[in-house]
Amino acid sequence: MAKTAVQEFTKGLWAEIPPFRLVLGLCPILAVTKTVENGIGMGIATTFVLICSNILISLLRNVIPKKVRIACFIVVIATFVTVVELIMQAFAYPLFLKLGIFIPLIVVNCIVLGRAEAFAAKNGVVASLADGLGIGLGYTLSLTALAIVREVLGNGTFYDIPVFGPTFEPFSFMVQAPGAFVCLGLMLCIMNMLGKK
Amino acid sequence: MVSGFLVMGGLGVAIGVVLALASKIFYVYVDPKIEAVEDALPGANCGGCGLPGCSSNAVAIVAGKASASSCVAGGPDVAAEIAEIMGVAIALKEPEIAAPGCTYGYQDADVKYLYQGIHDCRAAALLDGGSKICTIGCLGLGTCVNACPFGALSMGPDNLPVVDTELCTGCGTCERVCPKHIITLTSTSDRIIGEYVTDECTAPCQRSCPTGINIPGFIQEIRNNNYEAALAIIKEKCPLPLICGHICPAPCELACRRNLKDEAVAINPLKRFVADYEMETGKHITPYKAPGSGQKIAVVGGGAEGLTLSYYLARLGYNPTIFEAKPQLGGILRYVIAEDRLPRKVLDHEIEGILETGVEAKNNMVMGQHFDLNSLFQEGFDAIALTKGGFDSRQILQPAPSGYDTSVPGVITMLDFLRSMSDDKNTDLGRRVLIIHDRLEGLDLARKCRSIGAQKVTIVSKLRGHELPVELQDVKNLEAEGIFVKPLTMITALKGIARRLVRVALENTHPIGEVPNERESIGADTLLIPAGRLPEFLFIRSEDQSESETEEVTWETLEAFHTFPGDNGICTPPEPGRISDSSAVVKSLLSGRRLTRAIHQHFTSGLITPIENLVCEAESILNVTEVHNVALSDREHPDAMDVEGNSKKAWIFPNEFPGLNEASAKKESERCLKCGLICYRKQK
Amino acid sequence: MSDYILLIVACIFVNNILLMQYLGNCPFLGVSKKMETAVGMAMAVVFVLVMAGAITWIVDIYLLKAFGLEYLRTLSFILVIASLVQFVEMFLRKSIPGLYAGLGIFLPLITTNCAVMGVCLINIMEEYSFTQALVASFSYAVGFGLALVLFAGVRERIILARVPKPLQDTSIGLVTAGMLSLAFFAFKGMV
Repeated sequence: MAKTAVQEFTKGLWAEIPPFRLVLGLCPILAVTKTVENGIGMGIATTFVLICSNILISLLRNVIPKKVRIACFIVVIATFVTVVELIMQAFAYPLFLKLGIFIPLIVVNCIVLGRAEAFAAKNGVVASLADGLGIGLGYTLSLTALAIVREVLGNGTFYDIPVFGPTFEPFSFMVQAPGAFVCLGLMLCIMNMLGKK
Repeated sequence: MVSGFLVMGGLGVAIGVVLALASKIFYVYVDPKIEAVEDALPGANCGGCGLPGCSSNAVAIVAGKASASSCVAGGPDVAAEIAEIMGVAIALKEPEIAAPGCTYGYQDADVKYLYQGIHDCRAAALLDGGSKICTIGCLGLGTCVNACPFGALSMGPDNLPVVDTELCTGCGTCERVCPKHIITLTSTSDRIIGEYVTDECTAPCQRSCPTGINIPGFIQEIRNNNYEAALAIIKEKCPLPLICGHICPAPCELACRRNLKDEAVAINPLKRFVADYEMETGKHITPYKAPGSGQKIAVVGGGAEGLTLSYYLARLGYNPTIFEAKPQLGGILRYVIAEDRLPRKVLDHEIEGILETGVEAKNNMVMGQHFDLNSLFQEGFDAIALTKGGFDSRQILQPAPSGYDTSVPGVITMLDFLRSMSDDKNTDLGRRVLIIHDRLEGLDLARKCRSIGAQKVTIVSKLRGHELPVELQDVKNLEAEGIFVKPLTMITALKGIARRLVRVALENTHPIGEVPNERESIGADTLLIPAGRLPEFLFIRSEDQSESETEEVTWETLEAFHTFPGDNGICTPPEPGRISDSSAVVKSLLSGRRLTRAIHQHFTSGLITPIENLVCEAESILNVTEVHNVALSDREHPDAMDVEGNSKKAWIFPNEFPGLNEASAKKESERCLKCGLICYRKQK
Repeated sequence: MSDYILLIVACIFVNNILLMQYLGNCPFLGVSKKMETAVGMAMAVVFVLVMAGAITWIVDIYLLKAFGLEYLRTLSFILVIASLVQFVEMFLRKSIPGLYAGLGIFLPLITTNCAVMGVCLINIMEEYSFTQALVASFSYAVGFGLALVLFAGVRERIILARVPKPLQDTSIGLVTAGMLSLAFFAFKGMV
């Protein structure tokens, strides 16, 4: 069991790392990766929801009738999203303001519902926990990676610390919407190249 | 806090009530099967089945429009689950794989122009159908390769797609994207029952072979030293290669494109060479046998046609049993053809091979004496095929007391009828008699029938009313005589109970372009057909058992060749455009193979589909009238000896006609031009 | 009146929900491979979004705000949207089977379309009046449909292009979306 849990955990970091391998949850990844701080914050929030909802759904998986399972999953997820909202309002208000609408939108992040449906509803608590942790961590990594590229190139800073000195003219395309799409597309391409081997 | 609970609870309850009410108010009856099938489907809405989403596929499956195994994403487990819901057995299907149908890449083929546009066949095909002169040629831009989701396709060095048969899953993506419809899914079963059509690359020899052997294909395998593969290709169309190798008149060699340059390739000797090779190994090479449903089929007649039919039935997964009236199988091959043209050991070898594929044979069984339709159906046969062939061995051996062939109840050949009349035999024709006839003699026959007790005689003809002899056009007077004429009509099926004919199905054949065919069914006791032998009949158990009061079996005939051109209902010749006269063994092989097609399609889809654009029907087909860049070469001859035992050219009949040796076969195979419609091997 | 025109232009072009607000990208990439499905999805979103916009506005003002329960917004909105989608599905199936056949399979996908939830939340945050919320929802949905259909048109052409293997499919799709987004960038500052 322990071994499989480890496997469930590690697969989220590479084999099924979202959104590269599982092309889901694109909206936040495009929207909040202007800065590394946002990216990490969003990643952690999503991971929290993922883990909690995975655990609860896996506990309830034999109680929930099949017909209304999606509705139940959504309610569970929405509850944890509300929890995250409240926590962030209390302890990380500036970040909460920056992420804005995307925190409540974790509810409709396909990754969370996708894992609930595809994994937690069929597997035990420990495996679901590992799965949630792995996928969440993978998601955070992806968000951070994209945020690093965009912040460093588009703003010339890393975690708000300037990296190129004052003479650097920021490549502002990268922090705008088009840059987000192109950057993610190219990163996906690199992942494909690496993954082929 | 409390208000939070109340509001959320209230909202939940309100929504729940609304939804519950809505599900009652807006209730739509859905076949529970559809829901069950939909549950079984993966729900990925991937569209791999060709329908927009799983629910539409579920509807299609329940409606019978899609098969239980139509979900590509679900795989065999889902298929099994759905099959269980639907209560059908999933037909174990032979896997299909993609096969490119073009053999010359654009650098070897004749082109109209040089294409340098977007690197995609679909784009290239927009310009006058592509750059090749051949209208069905591969454009070689690799659209299929890019489309293949499993990486099973690659572009070969000659700019033609190459299929990795291990990786190909038969998903059909390549077939769908190819704008020229060149790469298609195919299986051995498809090729066995398949016929060549005009928009398919065929060589002249292949088109003129009555049974349609892929001649360039097997010669290519000989070139590659792959004799067993060559034999497998031949056996897809011809189960008796060694016999054909001895006695086939080889119309293929007349069509050979090398005739335009020097002399035809020795196609038949090459075929014999691989067959000899098989015989020397002492084994029978049994090519792929498809998994099948194992229906029991009775084949009446063990000649070339019956052997072919049962061989292919066995290869398609059926359980055929041959009933032969003579002590040994072979028919004309054994009892008519001279021993020095066809050595009996050759015949025995071939028959042994056919029996080894899973064919049962019962010799000394005479239809009408030892068994009949009713007894066969009661024994549990699902279909009965009549392949009585070119001569009626039964009549010669053990003449029936009636004086004529009674194997099909109520159906009498004109020859038998006239003979029994001249012998003054007392023939009971029953009340209602049908005669298929176009000429005045038909009227004589009709009057004869009336005179011996028939009350109502109907003459059925495919001709139009005014094309019939004037005597047959005098409807009023004829009707007073009890004789009715039905012009523009053919008989498409018989229906009977046990040993009686009950009804015949008629179809009005309007000339092309007019009202579609109308069908009717009329009662009949006897049918006279204008032939010296019975046509090939396929009998199946009729689903409608209402007219049968006792446990007797109601049967009906299948329209085996009805859908082929030259259609004449039950009297359709199996070979369109040509009368199957059994003048060559290879023609009997064709009708045997086409009977297999009819039986297989009946049992798999319930419908014998018409074939359009049959290649042998085509008035004109893309072809060449001269060849260029082909070196002269002499045809190889078998080592034959004259009386002194040294000359190669002049030889007198030895005891056994010799075949090619390996060296000359190899040399001869190099002479093949490997033709397509207009392509052939040119010297570089 | 001109306020509403400005609102419509702003919602369709300037703040295009897909290309400028990053919302609803999963279906954007998922169903844009074929024009047919893209049009179906666009229609379904217009249909659902207008209704969801109206209902969530009512829920927010008369239920949540009235009882001071704004913190339950996420939970109640998703509940409302999910059941609305379900309701619409049942309603169409019974009453307008023709429309159901066209939109049916897209409806369940809309529950997890963040554009729907996103627009509802935006309506509240911008403190729109009921009419404004309705107009904005409709315009956002039209903007979604416009971008989706444009993108599907481009993607149908991309199939014909020789794209390097690693860039194929989603990857080139994202880059294309970037280009499309760049085009919409030109609307910035218009309103």
